Amino acid sequence: MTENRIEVRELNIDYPGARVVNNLSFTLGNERLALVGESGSGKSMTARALMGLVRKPGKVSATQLNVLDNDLLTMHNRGWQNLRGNDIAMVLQDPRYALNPVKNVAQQIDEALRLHQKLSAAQRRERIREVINSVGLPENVLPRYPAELSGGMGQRVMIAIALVNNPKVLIADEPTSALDARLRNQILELLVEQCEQRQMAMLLISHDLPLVAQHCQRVLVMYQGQKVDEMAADQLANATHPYTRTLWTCRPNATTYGMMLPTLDRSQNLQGDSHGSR
Amino acid sequence: MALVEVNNLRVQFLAKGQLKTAVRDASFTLNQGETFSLIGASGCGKSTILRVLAGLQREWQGHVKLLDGAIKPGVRFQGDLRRNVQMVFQDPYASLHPNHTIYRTLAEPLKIHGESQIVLRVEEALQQVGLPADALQRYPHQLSGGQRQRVAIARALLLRPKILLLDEPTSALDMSVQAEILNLLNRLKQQFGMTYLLVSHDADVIAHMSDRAAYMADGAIQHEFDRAALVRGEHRMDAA
Repeated sequence: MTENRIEVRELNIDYPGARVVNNLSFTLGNERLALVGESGSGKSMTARALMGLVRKPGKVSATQLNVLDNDLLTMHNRGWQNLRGNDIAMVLQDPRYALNPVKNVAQQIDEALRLHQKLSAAQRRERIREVINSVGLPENVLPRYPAELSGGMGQRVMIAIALVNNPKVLIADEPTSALDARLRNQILELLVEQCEQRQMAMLLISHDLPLVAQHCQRVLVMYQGQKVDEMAADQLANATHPYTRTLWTCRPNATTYGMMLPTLDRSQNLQGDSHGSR
Repeated sequence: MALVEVNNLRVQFLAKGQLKTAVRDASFTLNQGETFSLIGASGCGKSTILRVLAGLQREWQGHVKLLDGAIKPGVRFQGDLRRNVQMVFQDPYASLHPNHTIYRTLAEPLKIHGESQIVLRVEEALQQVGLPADALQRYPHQLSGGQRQRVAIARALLLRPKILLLDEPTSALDMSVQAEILNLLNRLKQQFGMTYLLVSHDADVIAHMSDRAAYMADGAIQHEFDRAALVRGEHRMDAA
């Protein structure tokens, strides 16, 4: 089946004085798509637009912005409440900031369930147990608070919250950047496994091209708010675009010892920081 | 020549009334001109070792020889040590004073050490790390993460230290900015003949930078790796 779960045509996101996303078009079917670029390239803003989380004075405009046949451009609060966290869910970068520090794990998963489903307390308890097991955590984390979890466990809890309503689309915004190198692959493997089990599409946002390429089928490269390259993940080694090539080869390893790593030529846009990234 | 000799280092903290041992038993040497790395999962004590060598963590047990003499627990660094050992921290967002301009941040160590020609030296340092001269009037929030880490490196280099302690210098940065910072560190090391002690949890960064490395777990050094072992990838403890 080749239905498009996300359709974006000519998306622009403007802030006073700067356009952070410029003329971006892409579609997402039942697949895993990586959105890659440096910080400030507009990849997180794109994800926020898909979740209706672009705050004023930011302004979203597009000729088409559809998620699961919902037109996001005309969507109102009630519609967003139904969609967000239910059909489309998001996993954020840092569990230390994204989880509620004064609610325990069970309460936070329960909140997502109660907002979107009519279930009895016993049914909810069962669903919470299921989802926490499916992200590879023991049930004894349920009464714990976020401060009592390690970074990797916190990230798994956030994934559990996103998965509990069986979304059709998962947006993962740098889900591994706050983690140890050895945990990164575990978390990505978990996401891929859950995507396949639940027939869920994933938009994976990252600045680490080699890492995400292993876990996605397609890659979209962004630079300064624009799409500069798009290709199948297994074709990255043959990429011709200079920016894609740099992102692909700038990761250090044992064979680059004593050598200079490839870096970007930023000379053409040294003043490009006008929106004061972050 | 060994610049640093650490023997049976032990560091303990009192946390919630309980004695927590961050470093149980660490011994290693750091030779002139090399890059030696500590690798291990978070919480294994590698950053604590750097803090001991920087004089920030003054309560410890064991024997530590730093440059020419032994340092003692509970004693502040004096004289040349304060110049010759400098540290670059993990998070460039947290390690620069938010209300000080870049000029003030960079001039401070020179003023403290009574140096002359401060303006000239600061401008030179900025140039070395590849930042434009107009960055001097800016505040940290007006720079990107990579630019801030360059400022932190410039500040550490201003006093021409013999040893640079690098605590995860690139883990808060984008992959492409990381490449720029690692290139910068390697270039400066060649230029000034410095010695690096690098802490990282990224096996690829370690393999790219290090002449030797040690794997830490549970507050103790478990293995040491030479260059050949690093090339073979033996320091990748993911499977362990």
